[in-house]
Amino acid sequence: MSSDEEVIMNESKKTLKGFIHELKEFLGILHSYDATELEWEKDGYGIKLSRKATRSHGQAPVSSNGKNRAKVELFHVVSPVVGTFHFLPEMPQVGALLKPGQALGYVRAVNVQHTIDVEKPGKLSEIHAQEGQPVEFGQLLFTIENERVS
Amino acid sequence: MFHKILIANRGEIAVRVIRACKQMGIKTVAVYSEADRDLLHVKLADESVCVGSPSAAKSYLNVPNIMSAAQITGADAIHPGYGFLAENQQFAEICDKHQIHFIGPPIEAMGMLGDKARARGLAERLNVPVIPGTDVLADLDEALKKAKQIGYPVMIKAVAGGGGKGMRFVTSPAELEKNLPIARAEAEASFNDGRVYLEKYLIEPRHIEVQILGDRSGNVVAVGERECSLQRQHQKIMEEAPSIAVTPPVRKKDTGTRDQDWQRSSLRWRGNH
Amino acid sequence: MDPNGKFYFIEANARIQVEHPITEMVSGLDLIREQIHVAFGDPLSIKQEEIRIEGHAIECRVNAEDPETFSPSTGKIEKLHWPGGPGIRVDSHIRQGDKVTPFYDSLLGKIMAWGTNRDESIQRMLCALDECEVLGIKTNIPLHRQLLRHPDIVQGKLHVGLVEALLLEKVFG
Repeated sequence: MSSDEEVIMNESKKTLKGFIHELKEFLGILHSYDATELEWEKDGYGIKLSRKATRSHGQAPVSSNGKNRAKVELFHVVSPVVGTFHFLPEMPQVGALLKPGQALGYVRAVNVQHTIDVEKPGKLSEIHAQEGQPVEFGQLLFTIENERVS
Repeated sequence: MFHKILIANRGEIAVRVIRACKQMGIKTVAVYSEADRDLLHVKLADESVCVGSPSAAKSYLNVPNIMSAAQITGADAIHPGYGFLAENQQFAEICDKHQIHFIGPPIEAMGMLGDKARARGLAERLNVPVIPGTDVLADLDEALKKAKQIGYPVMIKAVAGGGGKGMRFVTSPAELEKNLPIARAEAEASFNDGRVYLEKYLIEPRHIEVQILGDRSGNVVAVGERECSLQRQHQKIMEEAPSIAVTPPVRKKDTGTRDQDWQRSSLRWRGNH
Repeated sequence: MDPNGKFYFIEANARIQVEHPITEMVSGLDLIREQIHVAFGDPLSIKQEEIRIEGHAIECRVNAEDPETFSPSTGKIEKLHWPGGPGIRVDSHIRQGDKVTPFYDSLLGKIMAWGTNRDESIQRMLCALDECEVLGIKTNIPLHRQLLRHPDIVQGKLHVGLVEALLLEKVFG
């Protein structure tokens, strides 16, 4: 390899490294601000990133039993408002199978009740909320496991 | 004294209010958006509540979540700082309804002063000189007639104005005709209130403010003036106190008349109860 | 106030103002404290005849913006040092490592300089601005330095159109 070629290689490696670094930053920004779209342009080059908005924040697939046949997706059900969390008379149990639209509880804000319901079917894996607990916007209330066969 | 104050703001003013509260031995609640989770006001306050996603409309202007934050933390007063909800009469009324003190002027005064046309009317009744101008304009014909009486150049201003929105500088009837609908549309879009009026344009004026404080018993003091003439696009950049343009006799007369006028008027800076 | 010294009422702002600290510096009052007291129902702590205005104070609003184009500057604050010393006050919320986001106004903080007279407060402010260090984002500190050295501003010949006129003439840069 000539020294010129080496310089070019190193330059492109640097550019690629820089690009990956910037891409990571953009993804971080998208995630931390719960944004759905980000457009960036510099020196005539641009990038546009978009992702699907979900109120229940999906998490990266977790492998089960070290095999790839079934993947478990975790969904976080968070409070959409500031208020006080309450369970419904029929309290959900860990392990219960949940249907979309099923109510798990409600957050009582000033004069208004916001129902907390399930968006996707799955198994209730963890209850983070407590009866009568003050909750803030985005506070984690439930974790739901969504098992899908790939 | 108040037991716990919620600061419905961010940035340096939230920090400033928290510092005052700490020095007075009052507990504090910070509210924050998802973008501000790691900011200083959240760290300095005794408690903090996330009230929404980054856009101001969904967080620092989110009245239900802010009221709810005050309720779940047991705050007995809300300090709005400046900007955001500071001059929102409806917010002050909601605070009042929920027995939470809004730290600011009484609701009537907010309504009166927030509406520039009413504030101007009050000043005229109290014999405080105002810039020659008009009431709310009905149509273009009235605008043209009044502008001629006042003399060009004139400024088109929004009744609900602030930050230069709905404001247009015009030097001729043709410019007035062109800019009146633009100013109206801008005011409508920014404040949901398209009413505009005219004001004579002063050449090279200074912007001088008088700091006034008043209590519920009607005591009012004027704490000198501030010179805020260094601005860009109606945003102040640099300010000073006192102003070198205000001579001691003027200061005495000016702050003196303000003091009396404000005592005579029904506008008193006090809590809401 | 017109060039002949005649005053006209424009508006009354029913809230605390951004620039309240300069009044605090020349009067010795804590305006937020007074505000909280009177909202609670307490009387004002001071009477008109007890108010003394001493010396002179200047405030510079430090914004995260390009000093030439005025477009907002966002990013991580890599390094930060605010000035200090006699007569200097800084009201700010930013810390090294903080991210300046595009969602809100660009105010990073305010530097206030008090002096026994106007010249001294200008001198102290110039020293404070020189000491100030904000790296990682752009600020309007260079504009403040240039403004405070301009003859019209040093002599106090101020009016609301001055800054824009100076910018148009490209006096700075």
